Amino acid sequence: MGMQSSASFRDPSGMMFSQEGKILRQVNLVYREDFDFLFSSGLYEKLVKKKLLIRHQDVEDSPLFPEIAYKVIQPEKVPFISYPYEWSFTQLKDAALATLAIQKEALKMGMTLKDGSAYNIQFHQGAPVLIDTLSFTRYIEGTPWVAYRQFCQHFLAPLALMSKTDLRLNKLLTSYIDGVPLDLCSRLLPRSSWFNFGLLTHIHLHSRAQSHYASPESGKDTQKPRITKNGLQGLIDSLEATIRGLGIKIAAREWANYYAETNYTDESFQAKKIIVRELVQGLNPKLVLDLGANTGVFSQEVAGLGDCFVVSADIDPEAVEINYRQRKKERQKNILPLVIDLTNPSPAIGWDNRERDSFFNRGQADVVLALALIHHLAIANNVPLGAVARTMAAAGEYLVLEFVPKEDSQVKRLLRSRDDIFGDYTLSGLIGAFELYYILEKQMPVPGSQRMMLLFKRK
Amino acid sequence: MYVDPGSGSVILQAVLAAVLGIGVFTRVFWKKIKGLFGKKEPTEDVYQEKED
Repeated sequence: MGMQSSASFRDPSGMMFSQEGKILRQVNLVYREDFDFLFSSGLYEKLVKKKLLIRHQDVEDSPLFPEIAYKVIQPEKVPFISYPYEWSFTQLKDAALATLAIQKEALKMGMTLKDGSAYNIQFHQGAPVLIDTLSFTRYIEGTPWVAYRQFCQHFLAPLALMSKTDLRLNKLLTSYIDGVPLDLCSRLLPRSSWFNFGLLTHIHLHSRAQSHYASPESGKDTQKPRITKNGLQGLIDSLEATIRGLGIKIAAREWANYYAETNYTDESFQAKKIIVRELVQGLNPKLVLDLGANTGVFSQEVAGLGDCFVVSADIDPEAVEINYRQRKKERQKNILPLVIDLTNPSPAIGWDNRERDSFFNRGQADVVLALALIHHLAIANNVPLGAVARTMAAAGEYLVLEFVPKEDSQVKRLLRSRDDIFGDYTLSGLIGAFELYYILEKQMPVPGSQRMMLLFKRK
Repeated sequence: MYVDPGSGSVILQAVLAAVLGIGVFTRVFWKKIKGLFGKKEPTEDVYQEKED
């Protein structure tokens, strides 16, 4: 019997559910006319062709709630779900611009988006795509864009904060399930943002308008204001221009120097790439989790093997940003860069704490990569080796781990200003701790360094 | 529509749309004028800068 998705329950038009291992969407009878119009208007074809909307097919599977069902469809599967608080700046910006592009196309064909939620967007084949096929409704001339508020909170607010205040602020989205409250955003933005027309209107004035009309004394229900199609288009254009105008500064030179300053000779770096490729290729994985992926150099090595999909996760939003920009340039469809702090990975949030999945609950990896990572966890963050082993074993079947010994300059740097309490942080100590959960299959030194590459298989 | 549009948001939208709509109208009108002179239309700008 089918089970409703804990992320899909608010929209009466339909819901996602899983049944017999398939992920399906029930379209309800109340939505029938809008759904049919999505096709008859040509909007579905247009958006799918532009890769802005996820493709689906009609299926014969039985609906979850047959009394209210119109039909059941099966959308194309997204290999790994991610959320806006895990995206880099440009990922969120691209998702916002995609949403606006979709709305513009929709208006041209007599439809409009009912919601402006960032959770309607997923990254698929390297680009943002709308996965909520039921998000459209027929446009009635004169009516406002009901999604405007939500769009400003889910997209414009976090982007403005990342651009003008701090790159890390999209993490606020984990605390506020319906996007960043506009009054909070307004308060956190610098005074200079008041001179930006888009931020002045869509954030600062928007926030004031919200508070004013929320108070009980704001008067009786006024007549619904009329908004022309031209006006709506002007509004959308303004949002687009505002978002396009937001950017971030990245310390590019520091990133270029990163690999030079670590313990590799150019030779040993190339040798490490070869070792990683060889180890992973033999395992023929479908899903690889590259933890502490930095700018995705090794994700790139692995993504070309077979039909492998790589989640390329790092704690540093700048590194992930560079990763994403590089993948876009290369038109890489098999890598998803994400901002993840392994000592505090995305929790399960939302209604019932089940609406948005925790990071490690979204799918078992075939291979986990932990390259130049273990010292950050075990030494910098005081996580016992056994605890690291347990978490990684739960995440995937195979583990490719690069042991970075105390002789390495990176570890020396970490130990510089503290006591060395890490008696068991040795190669044998690590293997001993990991053998509680894994079998050690291969061990290969990285030439030109003191590091050791280890291949483990979960018991 | 199941999402709450927000009363303040709707009112602000109406004000902005009235102001910004003039810009759209002008742009559309101007394109028509340019069309009369046989100028080539620039291609539509979607968020993706790459062609697929």
